[in-house]
Amino acid sequence: MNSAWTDKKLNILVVEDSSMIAMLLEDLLVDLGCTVLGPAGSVAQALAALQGCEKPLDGAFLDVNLGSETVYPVADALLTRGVPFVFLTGYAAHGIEPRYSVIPALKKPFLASAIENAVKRFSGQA
Amino acid sequence: MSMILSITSMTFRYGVAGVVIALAALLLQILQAHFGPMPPYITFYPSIILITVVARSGPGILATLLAAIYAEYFLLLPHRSIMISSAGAYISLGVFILMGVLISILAGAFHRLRDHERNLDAQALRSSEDRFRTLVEGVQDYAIYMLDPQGIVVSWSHGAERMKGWQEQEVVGQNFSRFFTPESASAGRPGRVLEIANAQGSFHEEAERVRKDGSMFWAALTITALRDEVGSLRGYAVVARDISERKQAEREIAGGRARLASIVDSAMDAIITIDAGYRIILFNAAAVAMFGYPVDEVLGQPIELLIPQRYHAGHAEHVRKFSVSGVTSRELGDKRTTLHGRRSSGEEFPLEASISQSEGDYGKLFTVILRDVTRRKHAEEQQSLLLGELAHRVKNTLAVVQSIAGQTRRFATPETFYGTFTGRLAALGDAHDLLTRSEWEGAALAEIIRFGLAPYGEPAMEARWKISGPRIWLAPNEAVTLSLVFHELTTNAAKFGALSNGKGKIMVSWEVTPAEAPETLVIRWREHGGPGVCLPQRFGFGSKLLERAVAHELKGETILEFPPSGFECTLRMPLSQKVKIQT
Repeated sequence: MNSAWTDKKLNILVVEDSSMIAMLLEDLLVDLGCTVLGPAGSVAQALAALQGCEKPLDGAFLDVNLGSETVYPVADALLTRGVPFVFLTGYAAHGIEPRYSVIPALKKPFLASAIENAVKRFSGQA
Repeated sequence: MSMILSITSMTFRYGVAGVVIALAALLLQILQAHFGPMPPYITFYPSIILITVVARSGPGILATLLAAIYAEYFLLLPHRSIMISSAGAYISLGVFILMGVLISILAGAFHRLRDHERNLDAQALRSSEDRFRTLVEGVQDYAIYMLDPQGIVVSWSHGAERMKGWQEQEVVGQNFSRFFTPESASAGRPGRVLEIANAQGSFHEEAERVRKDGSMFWAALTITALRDEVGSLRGYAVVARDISERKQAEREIAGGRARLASIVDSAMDAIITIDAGYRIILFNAAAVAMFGYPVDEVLGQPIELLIPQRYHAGHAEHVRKFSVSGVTSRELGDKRTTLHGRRSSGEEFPLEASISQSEGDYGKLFTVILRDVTRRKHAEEQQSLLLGELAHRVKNTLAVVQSIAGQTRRFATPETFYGTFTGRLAALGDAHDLLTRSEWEGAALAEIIRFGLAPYGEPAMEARWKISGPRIWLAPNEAVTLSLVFHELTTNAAKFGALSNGKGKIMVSWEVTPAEAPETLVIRWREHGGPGVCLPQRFGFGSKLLERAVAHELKGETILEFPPSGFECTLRMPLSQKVKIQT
């Protein structure tokens, strides 16, 4: 896939507890010319990755349900930093807490084009 | 009979007149014998008066004539002759006869007057008695009879006959105790009720009585003591009414009430009735269990006691609206809102209710039937949670399938894609089977490895692999990942390694280290006796999965080795809540 729509390599965080799905996202993002931070499988891992990240973060894909926990602390950290992100969820839209209603949510399984559109939004091109 | 009596009586009366005059004459003779000559009529005047008083005018006139004849013949001179010697004697005889006749006529008039009065009195008495008798006999629905002071029946009405079955002649002269049931008669009840009536003037009771045929009936009785002018007891008047039908109706109502009460009290739902002032007047056993108040604590209390504070105003308004709606019953609340009750502990709980209204003796009554739906609501929430969870898993699994499809496409040729992809889907399906067995709690490592080898696990093949290690428990995601890992390893062994030549063997063993305080799980996959091992040019999805998924999800590391004896793979991962020793 070409990355003609951006000159810059976007730095994207992926938080997803299922390694198979994380692998899929990673492949899609790499194909889109992004570098992937993570993938993180838990809130702790994600926050640690945020702390240790030297490059500015351009966006994030957050799986809402991480098994025994939800991803909201990571979402809050990203909101604080002004990093745009989208949720990934297996639930219908109402499965996300109302206070995040302005955050776009991608439903699993997701289209490659939906990921691409989200990345475009992160880069400020859409 | 009365004619003979009157003739006899007449003969008797005139006879009396003759006898009395004879006696008077005799008395006159005796007086003259002792005291010398006497006035000739001295004994006759009183005799005539006596006769007219006793025997009326006819015998009086007869007596006068007899006395006159006697006096003229024996007393007036010359004796024993009808001749009269002097004018004075004539005059005295005439005066005597006149006086006697007058006395007789006057007495007769007096007697007739008296008789007439008597007749009038008797007629009046007779018609009054007749009316009374007609009244007593005419009252069919009441038994009216009289008793003497000892309780012996002395009169008996038609109504009594109809009610009790005895004829007048059968019962007059009998003691009234025979009207009582054998038990109360033998307990002395008949004497007792007369005592009370005597002492208090009258006695009233509703009791069972016996008919002639032995059947029982319910009677309302009033026994009144009868006294004469000086207050001494003359007997008793008894008025009785058959109230069997009323008693039957009362029993049916009471039976109906008892049945209703037992239904209300054995109902599984709480049943509460409130009056027009919204105060509780009925609270059944289920209501006691539901709200935790004993019955006597809630009766008379406002219904608000059972309703959370925030619903009080709305509740009163709802009941008022229902009251004027004209509808007799309906469900409370609607589909969208859940009604709540408040237990004595203050705890609130969801409920369903229906309400009905009826007119009671003291105004409108509302009955509410309530069902505690705490458990059902809980089950519904649980169900909706499970459905959400299921949707999440299904969608996640579809995303995993999507990932597998993507990975397979990257490394497979169009010819190999379908077989490889479906093999991986089968491995994913096996992992789900394992997880479903434990209700998605997780799966045992040994099981995952066994499932991974399963396609090659026919009896002939079983001798070619061996697995050993302590019991390790894996969380769902970890279990899925390792299932796919072992599927890849097995597939590779079947294509290129120990399972490809018909005699190679695979040994999978695992251990936790260090032994005294385990921190790390080490899994070793070793192949022997396969065709000569060469470094693979294209390891594909399997190695990517090992390197990346194991690193990501299991936070572990993978070492792949290719010694001449056979392929070896070592997985090291930290023990955690998701990868743990099974106890």
